[in-house]
Amino acid sequence: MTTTAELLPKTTLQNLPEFLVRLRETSQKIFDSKGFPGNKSEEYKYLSLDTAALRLSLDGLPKLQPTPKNLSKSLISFNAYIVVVVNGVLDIENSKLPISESGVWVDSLKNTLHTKPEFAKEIGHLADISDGFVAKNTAEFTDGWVLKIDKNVKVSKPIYLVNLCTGDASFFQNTRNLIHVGNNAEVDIYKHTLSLDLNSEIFQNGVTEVYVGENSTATFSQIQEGGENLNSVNYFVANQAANSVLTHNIFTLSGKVVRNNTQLVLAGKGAEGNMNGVFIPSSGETFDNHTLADHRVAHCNSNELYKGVALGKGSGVFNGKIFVRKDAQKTNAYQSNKNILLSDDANIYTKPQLEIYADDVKCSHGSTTGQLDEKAMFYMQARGIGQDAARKLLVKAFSGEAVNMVKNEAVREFLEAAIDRKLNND
Amino acid sequence: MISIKNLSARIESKEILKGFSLEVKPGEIHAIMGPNGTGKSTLASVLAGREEYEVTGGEVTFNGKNLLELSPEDRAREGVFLAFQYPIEIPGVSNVNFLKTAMAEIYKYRGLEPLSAKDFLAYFKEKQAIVEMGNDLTKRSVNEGFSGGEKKRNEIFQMAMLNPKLAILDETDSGLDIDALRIVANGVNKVRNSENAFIVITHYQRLLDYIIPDFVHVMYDGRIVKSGGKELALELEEKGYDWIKQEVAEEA
Ligand SMILES: Nc1ncnc2c1ncn2[C@@H]1O[C@H](COP(=O)(O)OP(=O)(O)O)[C@@H](O)[C@H]1O
Ligand SMILES: [Mg+2]
Repeated sequence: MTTTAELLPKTTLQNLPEFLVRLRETSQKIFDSKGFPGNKSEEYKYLSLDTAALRLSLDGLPKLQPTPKNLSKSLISFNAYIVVVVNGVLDIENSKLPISESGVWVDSLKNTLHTKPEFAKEIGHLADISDGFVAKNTAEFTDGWVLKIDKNVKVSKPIYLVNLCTGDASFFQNTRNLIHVGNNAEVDIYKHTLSLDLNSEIFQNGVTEVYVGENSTATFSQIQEGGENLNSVNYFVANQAANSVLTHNIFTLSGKVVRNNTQLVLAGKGAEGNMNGVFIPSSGETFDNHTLADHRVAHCNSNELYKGVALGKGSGVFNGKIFVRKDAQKTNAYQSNKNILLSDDANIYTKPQLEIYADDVKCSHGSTTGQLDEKAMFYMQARGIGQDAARKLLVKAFSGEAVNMVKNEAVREFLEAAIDRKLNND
Repeated sequence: MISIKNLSARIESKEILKGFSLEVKPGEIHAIMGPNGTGKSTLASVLAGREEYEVTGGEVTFNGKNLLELSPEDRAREGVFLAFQYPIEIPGVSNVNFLKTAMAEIYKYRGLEPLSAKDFLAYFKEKQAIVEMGNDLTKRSVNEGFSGGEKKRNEIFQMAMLNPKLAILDETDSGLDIDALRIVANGVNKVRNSENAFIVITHYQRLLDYIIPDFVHVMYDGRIVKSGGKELALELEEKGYDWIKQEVAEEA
């Protein structure tokens, strides 16, 4: 990839489906009238979004950046297809795309509008534009990646999306992504957000829409290591057809302000949706997780496990909503959020929400926030284990419950090491 | 090895140890017996460094070092081991990983290279055999879901692994059936040598049939009120503690 001196003009998207053209206009109107949700909005009240970061905006996209040479050192090394995205732009040269595997398609959104116009019509139907960030994204997105797995295809390797932020420019970016998993298909996807030589503050406003076909199995695991200059709102919404299984895992390890909106819509009978997460904010970091398990039809299951560990002056939020609609009889919905505060200045707000309109359902939720187990700490010390090492073992054990939900062993090991590093730096 | 002089300690303004003194030399086994609530576990906790207890007087010298000034982990690294009366469960931390970390930390403190993975495993297996701990137990999280007896055996297993200079066993025999008791005692006897020492806190004489003490001390109201040889344990078994309490009352 070459560096160009010019800014890319903002309105470069052509060949948008008619539906999307109108949706963008509507979204623009919504955003113009409501703006970004602030602390006064119920949904965003714990998110002290730095207003300066929100005002970040260039007249266009940042200059294209070359992919840093030392990138591979920061990546998880495992046998996977690799999709490298630099500041929101697909870098084909540095990617290892599944070109030779039939039924697996990865490309930039911009190209897809031209090459697969039928597929592009799926954009915009799931994300909720009443949310200011989604409205902004829908009105202004410039590019993103799309991934399509044809029906009956079991993808032979994991797909590893590298979302790299780099460079000297400050910018606000709307990226739009689309995943379509066909009926009976199987795929294991990882998205790794990281920054290298990112010298100014940026804001990524990402929306990912996902269709999960009947009887398919998909996992989507996010590793977030954006570093001190990345603010991000990361909206993920999936629509699950009958008997599909989707597991969404998200590990927020660094970033300035990170908001994760994860919404699973159980739209077909027998669907199972799982959401797991670990978030470890330290001083100067706010990690805010909002989840929704939306049970629309009968006989679906949802399971949720979020673990928070706050260090220093870090602050975290978990807000999990289980929504069981009138027709969603025989629903099983479970949610658990456990948090540990490793310092007196750290805090984690937790708010489970149950809205249940069906009568024959099994729902449970639980949340706890506390310190590390003093007795276990002393027991370890009495065996010669120093406080730092003891803390690491306990945090590893605590977060392990969610880390172990990740399918790939190399990724699990990477996460364990990354969590250790995070505690080292505290 | 350890010299405890006039040790006093309290918790939440309640005085529990009241001038406790004891001298233990390498190669010796000391048994401490006494009624419930007398301060035996408190003594063990204070020696191991539990912060809840406030030492209000006295001194403890361990191999020339002021033990009370050391952090709990440094005491362990210096060679003090406490087998807990109530071992703690640590979900999510495997026994193997727990002990690997402990040994690495202890070796680092002593300026030694850590064992290689292979050597560690061989060493682990060797010690496992001593207390008849199967892989089914050692693979699991530390003490999680262990029965009372399994927890006690695990304490002795850890002791065998860490090879301390001074081991304090706090009622390790309580709640054990006769087979488990034999396994625990056998573990102690295998670890024991002329260089290390044991303080065995117990209620029952029967443990002392397997671990033969050099000295038996009776603790009452925060201090040692009577000392003798192993025959004292038999006498206590027979007569209970009332005569001791009486003696103490008469002296006062
Ligand atoms: N955490 C505590 N808070 C208050 N009192 C305690 C605490 N731990 C022990 N004690 C009291 O200290 C006394 C000695 O207890 P302990 O050392 O456990 O005796 P032993 O082991 O000889 O049975 C008892 O009266 C007990 O109730
Ligand atoms: Mg006791």
